[in-house]
Amino acid sequence: MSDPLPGSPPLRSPFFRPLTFAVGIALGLAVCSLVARRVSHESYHPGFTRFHLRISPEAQYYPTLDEMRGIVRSMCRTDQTLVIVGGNSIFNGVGQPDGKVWTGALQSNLGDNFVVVNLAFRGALCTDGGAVVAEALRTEYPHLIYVANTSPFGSLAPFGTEPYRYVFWEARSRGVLEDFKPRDEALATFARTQQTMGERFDIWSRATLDRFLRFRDIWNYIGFNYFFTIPNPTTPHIPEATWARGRLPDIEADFDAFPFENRFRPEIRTAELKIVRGFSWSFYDADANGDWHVKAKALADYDGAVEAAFPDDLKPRTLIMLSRNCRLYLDQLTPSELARDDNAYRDCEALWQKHGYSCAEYGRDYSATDFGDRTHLTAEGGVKLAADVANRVQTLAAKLGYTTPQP
Amino acid sequence: MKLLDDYLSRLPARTQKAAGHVGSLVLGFIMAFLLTYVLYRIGLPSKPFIYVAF
Repeated sequence: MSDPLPGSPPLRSPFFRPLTFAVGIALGLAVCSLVARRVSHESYHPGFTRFHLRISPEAQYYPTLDEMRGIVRSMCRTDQTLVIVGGNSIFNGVGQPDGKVWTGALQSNLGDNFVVVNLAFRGALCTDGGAVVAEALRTEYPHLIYVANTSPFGSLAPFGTEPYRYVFWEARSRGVLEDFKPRDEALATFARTQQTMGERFDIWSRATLDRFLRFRDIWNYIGFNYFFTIPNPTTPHIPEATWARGRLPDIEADFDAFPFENRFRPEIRTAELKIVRGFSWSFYDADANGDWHVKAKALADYDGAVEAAFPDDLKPRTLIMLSRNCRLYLDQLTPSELARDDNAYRDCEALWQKHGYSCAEYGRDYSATDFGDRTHLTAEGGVKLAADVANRVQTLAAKLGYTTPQP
Repeated sequence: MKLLDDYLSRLPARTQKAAGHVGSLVLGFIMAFLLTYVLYRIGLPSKPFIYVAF
């Protein structure tokens, strides 16, 4: 190390105390961690409805496990039945503006003994977000029901999918998840086959550091309440880019504001019909009579995924809703294609039920106008879904003995 | 920094010592706060998630 040049100012103040500085860093980290735990324990999302576009990973806002647990705690007493809604954009309520979200109708249908919390995210699996929160709260809320949607033979990683998998890593690093052998085995296979040592270390180190330091919690709190610092496409311009996320309203578009013809334009219809045609195609073979039979491998793979999706004690408390495509497209399928689709729903429903879950499909009898596009529902469609789900939640609650008040 | 040093050097020795400790502690707090921010930022993807429905 070279000496300072003669006449140049000293590199640091003679009053600087390195040891005290180090103590300051340690104390500062401890204080940040304590503050983060405190502010996240109770919700800082007043009037929470859902994680809308501008408080979601699409806007570089990643809600933490404790943030979501705090929201649940602020909304639901432990003597009420907690209904956590997970799943993808359909259950998040895409196309349903604030005030017309289907989970609002679900809450009205269920009444005060139930509290519905919508923790669904766009592009999420039924094992993402809300599922992790439900598992983490299983003892705190003994009367708990988890509701989520998926599609037949759809992707079903028991540890979620990107970009939402961070919630699983958070929960796992904090020891709030159950030991569940099928999931652990799936995770081990995933780590062995799809992750490098560097990626594993990266995930482990971040989750472990955050477990102690809670830097995600403290900066989400600051970002939601005071100022936001991450560039994102939902607020590209200053000063909105720096505004507290809590200041930004839910600006979800309303499908009903668009005429039916605009929602189902011809150029979109062609592409969407291809998707609907392929929905169950790869999972079935036709015999000589034209009857459809599920492929053994597809069934075995899905069976394993359903088994590993949720720990055994949560399976009876889970309601899986299989989402149908819009009737506009179903009506264009050939009778054979439609029969194959029906088989897929029936087979998957039976498979989920075989493993102890409640499962049903929805949307087969909805009108085309109940859909905003191929798969998302309008507010009116959401009301129908809410009625379907409410009936099943009440049936499940009665079956689980939740109808009697808790001590 | 030089102004602060000059000011502190005019204070009594005990006060200088105490001020040095308090200043270093506050600096440590600020560094800790900035460190949490760095950890938070490097954990975020460089580009936001783009949702596409299939």
